[in-house]
Amino acid sequence: MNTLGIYYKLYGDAPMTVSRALLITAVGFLLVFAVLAIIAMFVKLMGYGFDKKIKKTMLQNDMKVTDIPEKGTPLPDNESQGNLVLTDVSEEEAALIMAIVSNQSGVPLNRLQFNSIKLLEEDK
Amino acid sequence: MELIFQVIKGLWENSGLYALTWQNIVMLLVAITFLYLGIGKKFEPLVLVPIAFGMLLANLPGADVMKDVTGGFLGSMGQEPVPGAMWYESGILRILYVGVKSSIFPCLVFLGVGAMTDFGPLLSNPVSLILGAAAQLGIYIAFLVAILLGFEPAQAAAIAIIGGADGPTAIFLASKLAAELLAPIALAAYSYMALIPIIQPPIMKALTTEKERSVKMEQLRKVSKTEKIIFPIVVLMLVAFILPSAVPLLGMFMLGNLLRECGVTDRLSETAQNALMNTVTIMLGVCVGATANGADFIQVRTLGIVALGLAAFIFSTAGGVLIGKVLYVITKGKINPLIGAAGVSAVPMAARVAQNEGKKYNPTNFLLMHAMGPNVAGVIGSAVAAGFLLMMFS
Repeated sequence: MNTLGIYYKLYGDAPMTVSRALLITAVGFLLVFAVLAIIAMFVKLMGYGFDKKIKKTMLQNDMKVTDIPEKGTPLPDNESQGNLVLTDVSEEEAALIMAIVSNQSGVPLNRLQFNSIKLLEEDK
Repeated sequence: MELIFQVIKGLWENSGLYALTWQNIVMLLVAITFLYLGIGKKFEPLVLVPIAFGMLLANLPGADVMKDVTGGFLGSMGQEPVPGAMWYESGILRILYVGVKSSIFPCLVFLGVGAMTDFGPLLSNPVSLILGAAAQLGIYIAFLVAILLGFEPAQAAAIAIIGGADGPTAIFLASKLAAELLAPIALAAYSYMALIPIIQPPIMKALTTEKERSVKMEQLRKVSKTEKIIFPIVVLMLVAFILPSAVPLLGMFMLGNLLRECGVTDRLSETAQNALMNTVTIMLGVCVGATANGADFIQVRTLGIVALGLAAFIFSTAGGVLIGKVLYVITKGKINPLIGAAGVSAVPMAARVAQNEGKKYNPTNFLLMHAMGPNVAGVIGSAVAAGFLLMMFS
């Protein structure tokens, strides 16, 4: 296999002119765009296919969301209910804290009850 | 009395102080500054501390940690061979340097980075890839400027890759195209990566409006495990079909990622992420630092490389932010242009900078996961750019 670079194959040891440098710059930048755009298209198509498959599976499972569980039944893993009072804490921060508590305590989120999350000032 | 004098004279002439040059002193000061930045200021300490220490070792006169008795077999340039000496009599860091010269270390680092990378944010938002491509702009601008400054094409390409903000890629390309410039290129690449929290924010601020910086992006789509397994395999094949020269880096990157995602090689993934990555980082860092010998390093050319590297970083950041602005318009304000700056592949520092900057203008904004998409896309983008330059100028 000939490992000599394309530039040297084309121009030998001739010095690089500005126009050649501009051409290489343009081709190189466009190539990066083209390769990553092809990957983006592939990802988009793959995501579209998988989303469609997930929706189809959900329909096949015939999920009855209107069924009301008996009192005291733990909520499904992906559901929650109730009110949470946030004081000086954003929803994202609250979600993070709840996830950490669940992870550290080993209790699933759907079995934990949070009443309020409040920011404590260190100097108070 | 004369004997004592002769002994003292001999001791003095063989001491480090006797052999100390002003270039060594300058480099020792640079090493100490880097150590301060790494330890005191916590700028990329995992990389900066080994590099700085390697620099320190290489500039201690008489220590000869980078001595090559083979006269070039171990990657040195301009060192005379010692007759009858075996390769293992060379300096300890010179022997380790074979891992840099052969590209083993950069490729192994890519294996570790791949094992640490979650492609989830990129898969849930494929437009990230466009931002990752845009943030390679600096590479090509720097190439153009380096040519105008009179560097050889291969040297210009090796210098330009600093704009990819990817240390292993910079070392990989420099060792292949312009080994004589490896030290300044690697140092510039890693130093600027460490300085990303200082370099990027002013550019991000200058190119965006407060309204753009405050955009809160929508929650990401959930990505299935199968997608994460398919992605590294297919992307590697796609890139290899177009640019086979990018395969050493990208192949190891995707292997690391597959080890992480496939779910049946947890032990290998764990090793790649931690033990292997840390071991190689120490050796790579120290060896790269050790190439910065004062006599070779302190030249006007080095200053040019450092300046070009900074320009490359600035243009790469600007490229990402500007395409981010275009996407902001196209998506009617759904994309925060700040995440474009994360397209330079310094993972995860650039994403963290986007997160911090976004939070300054909207405290409830969490851009980190959105910025991780362009950030890992940047790794692929810089590997593709390196593959192109290697194909052109090898």
